[in-house]
Amino acid sequence: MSEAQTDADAELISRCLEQGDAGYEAFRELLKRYEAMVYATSIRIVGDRHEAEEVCQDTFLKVHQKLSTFEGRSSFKTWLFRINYNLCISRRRKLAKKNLHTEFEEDAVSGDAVNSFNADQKRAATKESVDVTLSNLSESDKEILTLRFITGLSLNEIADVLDLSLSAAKMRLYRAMNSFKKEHTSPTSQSNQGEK
Amino acid sequence: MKEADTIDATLFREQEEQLQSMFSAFEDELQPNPERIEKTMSNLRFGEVVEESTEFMGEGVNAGLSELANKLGKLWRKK
Repeated sequence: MSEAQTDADAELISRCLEQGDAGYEAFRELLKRYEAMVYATSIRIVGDRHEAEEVCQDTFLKVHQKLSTFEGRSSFKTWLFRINYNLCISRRRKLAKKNLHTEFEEDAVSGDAVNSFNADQKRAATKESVDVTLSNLSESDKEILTLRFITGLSLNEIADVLDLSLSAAKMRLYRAMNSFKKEHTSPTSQSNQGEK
Repeated sequence: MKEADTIDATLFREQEEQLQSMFSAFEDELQPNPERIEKTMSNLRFGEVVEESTEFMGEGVNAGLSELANKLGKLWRKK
């Protein structure tokens, strides 16, 4: 994460803590900067569009509530995604318990992808095939690949969010990339994509 | 550290680059969504109004209202 971005976050955070409309407007700016990233991450970890939207909102409500306690020991982005990750995991567990969610909602993302990408079918197809592959991976692989390649966190930030050592995070990512590659080129995965 | 040391750095980087290129198809999802942002802002303001209006009440009433606010918030989000 660039130093300029960290500085911009710090400035926004201090404005968010102001009373009244100024604080709200600053928070809206923070939302503009991170909301889409949090939603894209949540949908892949939780696996359901509606639940992901709720998790996304809960994340920002919690961030707003706790912002005054943010000490800046890690970057704001890391802090935000630690909150988001924990809420995603907790929501996924609740869903599993309720048996409301047994499998990844395969069209959770790809439906939107196809609609918004009529003009660029190749890109939409890549996105869909990546999503299908992701949905066939273990939760752990899916999480780390999402945090690395969709959220765009560095290995250090991932280690912080997942509470792992840097070497453990690197090894987990390495294994997940291998699993992804294997799954992506497997005949089963190819035929699943063909059926969609 | 031992395990990670056994990862071939070049191979790791190549794999990362390859996946990075595939996942770049998701860039469109990273654009701000005004509708979701406004929904979150409404929930935020709604939550604060309820909190402020219950500040002067007793603990029992507060807890009840807080639960009610949570439920209303959820209904609001489903709108």
